[in-house]
Amino acid sequence: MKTRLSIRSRLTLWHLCLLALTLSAFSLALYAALSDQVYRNIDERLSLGVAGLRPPGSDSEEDTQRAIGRVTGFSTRLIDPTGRVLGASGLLLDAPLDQAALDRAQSQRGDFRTVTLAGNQRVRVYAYPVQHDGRATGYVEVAVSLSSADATLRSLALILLIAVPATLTLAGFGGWFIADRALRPIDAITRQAQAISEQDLHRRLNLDLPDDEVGRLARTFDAMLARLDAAFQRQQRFTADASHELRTPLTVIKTNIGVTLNRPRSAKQYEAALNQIEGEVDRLARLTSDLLLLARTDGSSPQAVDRQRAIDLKALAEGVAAELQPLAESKGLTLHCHAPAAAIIQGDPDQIHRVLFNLVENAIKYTLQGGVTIDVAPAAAARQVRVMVSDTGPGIAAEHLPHLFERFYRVDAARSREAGGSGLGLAIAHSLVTAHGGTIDVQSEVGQGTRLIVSLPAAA
Amino acid sequence: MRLLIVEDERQIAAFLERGLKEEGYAVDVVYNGSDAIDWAAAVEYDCIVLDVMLPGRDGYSVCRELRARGLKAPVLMLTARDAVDDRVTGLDSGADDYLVKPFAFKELLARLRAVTRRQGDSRSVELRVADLVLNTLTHTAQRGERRIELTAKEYSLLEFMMRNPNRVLSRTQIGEHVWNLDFVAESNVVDVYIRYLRRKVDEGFDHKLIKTMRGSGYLISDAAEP
Repeated sequence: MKTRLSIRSRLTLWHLCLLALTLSAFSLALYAALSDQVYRNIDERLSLGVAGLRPPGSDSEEDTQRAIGRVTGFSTRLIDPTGRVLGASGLLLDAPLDQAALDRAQSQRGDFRTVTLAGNQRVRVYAYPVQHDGRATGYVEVAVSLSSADATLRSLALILLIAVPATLTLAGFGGWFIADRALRPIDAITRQAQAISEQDLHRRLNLDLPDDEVGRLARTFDAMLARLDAAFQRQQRFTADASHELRTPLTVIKTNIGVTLNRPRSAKQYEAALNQIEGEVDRLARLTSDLLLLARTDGSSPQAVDRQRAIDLKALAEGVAAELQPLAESKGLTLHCHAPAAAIIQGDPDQIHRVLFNLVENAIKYTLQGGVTIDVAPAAAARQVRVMVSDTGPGIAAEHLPHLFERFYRVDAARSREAGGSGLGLAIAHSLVTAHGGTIDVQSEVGQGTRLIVSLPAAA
Repeated sequence: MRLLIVEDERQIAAFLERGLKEEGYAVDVVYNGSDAIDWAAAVEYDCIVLDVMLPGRDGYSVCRELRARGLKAPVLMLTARDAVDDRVTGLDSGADDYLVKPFAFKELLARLRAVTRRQGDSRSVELRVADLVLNTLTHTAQRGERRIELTAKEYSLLEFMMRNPNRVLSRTQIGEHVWNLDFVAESNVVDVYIRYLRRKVDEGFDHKLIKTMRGSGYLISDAAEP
């Protein structure tokens, strides 16, 4: 069951419960120890007093009576073995005889009991058997009032009964205050976080908090917002770019149709317009399938199911080289594939084919003279299969390298579009390689050509 | 009417150039913003068609720069961005109108007519000098009861002259507004087209509207021959 109490209240309540338990236990122990001590003292005084009543070598009643008279501060009573009161003083004048107590005193050589007299007066009585020459000659009872001891203990109890709740109340307010102070930054974080919607992810909490638990929470929250913001902006830029990329061929088509229909044309002109439109539709279709492929790979993880087939990269690379040989030849470029031995990885053959195809096609597109080389290096100690695609093209300036695998990133927009690129080829390759648990790197320098290196985990 | 098209997507630029030339416009094409600024400074255009997404500096900044340099000609912006904010930015940077890609070519023509009409004294689609009426929508002319069919270039020439009535227009001025950069200043193509126009507009009428100012150029006017 979920509690509706705030953390603040729960902290305070727990704190109060613990404190109440501790204080109660302490008070009870204190009271018990003190009352025990007080009553033990009284009993000791009584037994000492009785000791003073028995002068050695004296056995006559008169002696005893005299002795009783000497003991001050106590009430006394003298009882003969038959239970007849021989003489009494003070509190014991009206106290009833307790034969059971006298019998106990006889057998245990002394008995303490507490008697409540009329007027609710509590009295502690000590009965002691008197013997003479091994013969019981009666009993002596000594008594003292408990009223002063009871009053002491009552006032102690009163003090504890007032002090404990007062302490608890104070502690409750104090605990609430401390919990409130500790939790107030969390309320601030909650309020700020509620105010941040997807439209203003660039906002931060920016709370000036010390480096404690809450401060770290706020900073972690800010860092998470920054990451979300970056991801959101990437997504927005991607959507804007994609819309621009889709609208350009649409505009070309629509303008072409508009201009063509604007006046009567010959059959040849209509045919030319339709051919141009077909080219643009092809471009749109390519772009659409690239975008779909990216959208699909985005959501999948390296552990996706259908990536468990064994692929020989040597055969795959040679296949791609054969496929693209005509394109290379049409541009007067050479295309070589060096694959000394089989290099087996686990994955989806279509997707890995797509990666190699994109890299090699890209290299051919941007190379004006020279050629493109594919090198397949089988797994070495690192258990990584490497495929390198090197070209003798113009190279890429250092400032473009970090963005090379971003969607729609173009080093030279005009030239790339003339080459027929969608701006997605490398992004797709990157996405597919990442989904296979591999990496893709680029080494390039202006005028020195470009080398793209794909590393994939070798099959176990 | 002479237009400058600023569009980095070469295919779109090529189609626009072809279509607009067929409509009788003189068209120049540049592919980036800094060329646009240079050309607009060198040639007096009647309208500039400006794409927003240009490599280097974008269309907004080009438009602001053109206006800062005192460009009076209307600017028609083309863009793939259709958010309200983008349109507001476009218009606020000095554009007269805004067309979202992909657009219908007919709409571009209509908007071009609209923004250039706003520039002139007349808001009507018809231009008039004496009893000669030119319809800028249908590209046809009428003098009195006679309907006059015009070719694209003849229409452009007549339109330019009728937009500047009673003003002497030099061969160079006419060449720059009616023909594009391919126009060769020394050629007599202007004289040839003036001759075509006279045959269609003035032949058979006592009152001649197109007049030759010897040594300086031509003008169209209702006034009697000096």
